[in-house]
Amino acid sequence: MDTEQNNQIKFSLPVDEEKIKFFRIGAVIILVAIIGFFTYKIFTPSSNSNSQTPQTNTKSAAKPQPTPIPTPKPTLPPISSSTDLEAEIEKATPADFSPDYKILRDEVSKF
Amino acid sequence: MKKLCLILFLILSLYTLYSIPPTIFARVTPEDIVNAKKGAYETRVKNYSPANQQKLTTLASAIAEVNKKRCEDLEQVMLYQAAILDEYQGRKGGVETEAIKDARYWLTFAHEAIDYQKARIYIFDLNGESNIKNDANNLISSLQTQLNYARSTAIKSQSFISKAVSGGGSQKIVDPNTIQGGD
Repeated sequence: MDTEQNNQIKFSLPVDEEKIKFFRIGAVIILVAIIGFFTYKIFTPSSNSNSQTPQTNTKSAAKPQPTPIPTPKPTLPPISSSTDLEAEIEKATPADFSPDYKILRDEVSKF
Repeated sequence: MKKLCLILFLILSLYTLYSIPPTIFARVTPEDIVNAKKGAYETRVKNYSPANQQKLTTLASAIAEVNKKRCEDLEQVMLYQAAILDEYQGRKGGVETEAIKDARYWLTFAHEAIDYQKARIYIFDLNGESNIKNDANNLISSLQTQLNYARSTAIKSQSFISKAVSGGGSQKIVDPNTIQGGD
């Protein structure tokens, strides 16, 4: 009788142990799935990467602007061996920019 | 129990690895600053009325146009100054005197300052729609200061070339930082 009982214990798992075995297999499957998911995410290049600079060229300011009329560039006489250099260097003075600033400020005053 | 702890540790490690963004060791370039300013501007201007948005767009275009045109004018002046200095040096048999060396130093300095100014991008620093005039005037002031600085370097260069051409003695090289208006 004792031998029969021992055989039953030896060859048939109790219910608790079966549950634990089921849980372990489930845990391994979940773990493999999680590892697979993270591995996929890490090694797949994302379009929304943090290292990219923000895209700033939006279409909000896309109204067509009138093309400015091209102004002729100031032409200065060519320098030759007979040129009076002292006189010519006096001509190489940059123009006064004040009128431009005034025009811009007038534009602001209309705001 | 030990296995469970190990599994939890692995899961947490993977989560940390994925969730924390990688540290990027890169220096901040002028382009980054401009992009950041543009980003801030685009975000704020969205809350402005369409009319004010249009005014700001028009003014920004005008400021960029003034900067471009004036820098191109200054470049022409610098090329002319360079031609004069080259001609003068040629007449002296190609010898580079102290005065010519000083003049060339300032010529190069001015040319670089103008190139730098030409590459500048002006973006509004907006502080609310009620302050739109102040913000616009601040940007114009910024343009004025920086463009005038570029102009002053051209005038400085001209004065050194003028002294060299008129046979003036050698000038002591002036520290570029002593010119007002630069940044």
